[in-house]
Amino acid sequence: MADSTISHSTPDSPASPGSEAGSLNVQPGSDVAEQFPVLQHKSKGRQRLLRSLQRISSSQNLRARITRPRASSAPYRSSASSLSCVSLTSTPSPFGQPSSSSSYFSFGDVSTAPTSVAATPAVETPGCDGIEPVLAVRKVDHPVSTPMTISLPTEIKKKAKIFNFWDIIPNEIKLYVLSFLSPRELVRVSRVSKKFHELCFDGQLWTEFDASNFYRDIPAESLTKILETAGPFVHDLNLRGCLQIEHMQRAQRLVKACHNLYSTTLEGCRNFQRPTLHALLKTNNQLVHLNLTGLPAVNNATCKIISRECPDLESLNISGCREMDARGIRFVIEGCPKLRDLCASSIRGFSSNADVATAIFKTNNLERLVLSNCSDMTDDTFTTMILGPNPEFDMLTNRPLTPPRKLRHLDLTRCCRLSDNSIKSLAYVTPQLEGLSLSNLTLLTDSALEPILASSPNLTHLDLEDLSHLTNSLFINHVAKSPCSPKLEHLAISACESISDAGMLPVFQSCTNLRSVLMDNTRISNLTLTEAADMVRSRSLSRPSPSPFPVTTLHLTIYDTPLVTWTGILEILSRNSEPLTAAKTPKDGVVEVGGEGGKRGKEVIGLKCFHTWQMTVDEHTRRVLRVLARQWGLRRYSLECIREGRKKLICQQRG
Amino acid sequence: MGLTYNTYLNSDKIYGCKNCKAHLANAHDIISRNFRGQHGKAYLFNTVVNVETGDPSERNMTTGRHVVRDIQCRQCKDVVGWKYDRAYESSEKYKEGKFILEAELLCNVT
Repeated sequence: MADSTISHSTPDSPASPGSEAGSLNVQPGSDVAEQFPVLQHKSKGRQRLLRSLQRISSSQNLRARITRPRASSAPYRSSASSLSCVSLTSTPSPFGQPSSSSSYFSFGDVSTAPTSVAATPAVETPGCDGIEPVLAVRKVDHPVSTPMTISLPTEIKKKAKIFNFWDIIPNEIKLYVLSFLSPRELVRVSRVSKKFHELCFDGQLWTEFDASNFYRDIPAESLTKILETAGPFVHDLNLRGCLQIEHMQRAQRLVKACHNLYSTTLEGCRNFQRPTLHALLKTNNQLVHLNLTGLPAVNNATCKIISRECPDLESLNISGCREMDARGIRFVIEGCPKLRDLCASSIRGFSSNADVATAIFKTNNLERLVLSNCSDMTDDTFTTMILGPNPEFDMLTNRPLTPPRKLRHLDLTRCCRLSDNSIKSLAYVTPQLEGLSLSNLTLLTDSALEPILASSPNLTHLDLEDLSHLTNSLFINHVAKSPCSPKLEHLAISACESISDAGMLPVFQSCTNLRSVLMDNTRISNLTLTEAADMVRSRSLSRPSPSPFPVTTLHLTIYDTPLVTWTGILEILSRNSEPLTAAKTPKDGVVEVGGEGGKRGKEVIGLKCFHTWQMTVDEHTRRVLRVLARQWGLRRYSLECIREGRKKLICQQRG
Repeated sequence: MGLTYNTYLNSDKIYGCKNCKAHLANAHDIISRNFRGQHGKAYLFNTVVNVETGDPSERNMTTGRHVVRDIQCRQCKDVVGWKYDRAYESSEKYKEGKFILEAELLCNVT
């Protein structure tokens, strides 16, 4: 069979194509047909080569040429055994032969093989003098060398096609692959080819456009182009800080393109024009989350448009919009029945427009209301907001007979005109209250907070900063004994100058779920720290650890407290390092080995104290956490993992 | 010069300029609150963002002589506090390079 295939080859060199065929002829008959065309290619090239060799060898004139010393061929002449057809191509010629030898071996690309082999005759001639004397030797060497070298290529030769994976896979899979890239990378990748450009700017990859990582770097034109191509696919648009969107036409193009927005953040785009903003609101009727913090373009008319065009709105943040006032808020409250989350800090006009308060009272939809810094809010307005315009009071208990509010989070920081009378009204009417912030309401006293604490069993966050009239008795009698004390997680009493140990000790004894306590600028002393350490110790032994690795579960902020000394800090630090010493010294023959017992007692207290001690404390905490992790057998847990885990947990805790 | 972009901080409690709500500092970055400025209480911070510093001037404060620079919000150019350049007393050296922001000129930005 081998001979039949090479019947056209020159008789002079029966061995060379024969050597190919002989060694290539590994597969049975069915494959020979496939091999034929390739073999023919190869043998044609071979033919030409060997014919030229013939010519050279026979011509007298060329002898001189051949016998000229050739540095390239000389080193290779010794390797006689390698002079098979394989070695013919791999013999050295300075003219870039590696490609031909590789093509011979790889057979990956049929198209290149013949060309390279065809190239060899012209190039090989200088090396032919090495071949001549060896031609005779070849017969002997073939069976030894060639099968070894050529057997692999035959296997591959059958599959010799160009396999372009990317063209074969369906579009959906390509998009899935590209969905793992960040926006910056996507733009870079789009430059590969036209097909890639189409793919990379396919709308499905741009449903969430968050410019927080690159708002400074992206030019306005690119931003507009991307959003235009993504167009109706964009659902979440976060353009916080994108000052570049100023030019009228560009912003208009953007607005025309994006009409399916679900959640938009335009915080900080101070150059956004009012007509463009109005157009955006009119075209996006399905908006659910809207954040327009600090935009000078927002005014009462904008709020009217929001109330008319965006009926599905659930959360709205219009803090710091100086051009609007409380009337706009009234439009929104009345027009958006699903509104649950309203952030309206620094909005003027609450006192002059009592209708706003009535509207908020009547609709009773809000679960989160942030009215910080609304410094013109008066007692009357706030009472109306919570209890209604003419509240009735129960004759016996003197409690208001209003239906309960759905409020879960209320922030009234810095609304300085509010006093006890209005804050008291929160009591008994807000059973679901979870977060309450009354920082900087300097007129408040104990009597405002007592009823609230008694009636809000779900309270977890309590911010009472800068309320200098609060006394210890509030904490002893009310915070510690309230129904919410086991759930309380966050307590801030910074700058409450009358609070001292007497008040805080009962708090630490009863509020066992505390995660962060801010006690700076108070009169607490080392006793409180000891109590805190005790609390963490007992709770870490009694409940399972909140995370698989040691983590800071209590954050104490105690700078600016003149009565806290290094002794107190030492208490905390020694509590942090207790698990280390306990594990080493088994008490009463009870050794804490792995398992349940070993997993407890891994809670660490984080401390923010007087600045000179802070570095020592930080280093101590870091080392304790590292050793604790190692004790648990988490040897391979790098410090980065632990830190990251801590950060994640802290972020979760702080919400 | 180009557009002056604002830096945005990531935290649950951020102090910002009262006028323009630009992020100024992280509340967890406070070193001490025991300071008084022209408008009342003031807080000492490690780092603040989005501010421009003015020219240094020597002032006599309750704690001694210091060289300070006024800080302005980058967006609205309102003075929000000052930065300590140099403290002449050794007990006040810890303030050098830190920033004071006046509580009255700040607001909470969540």
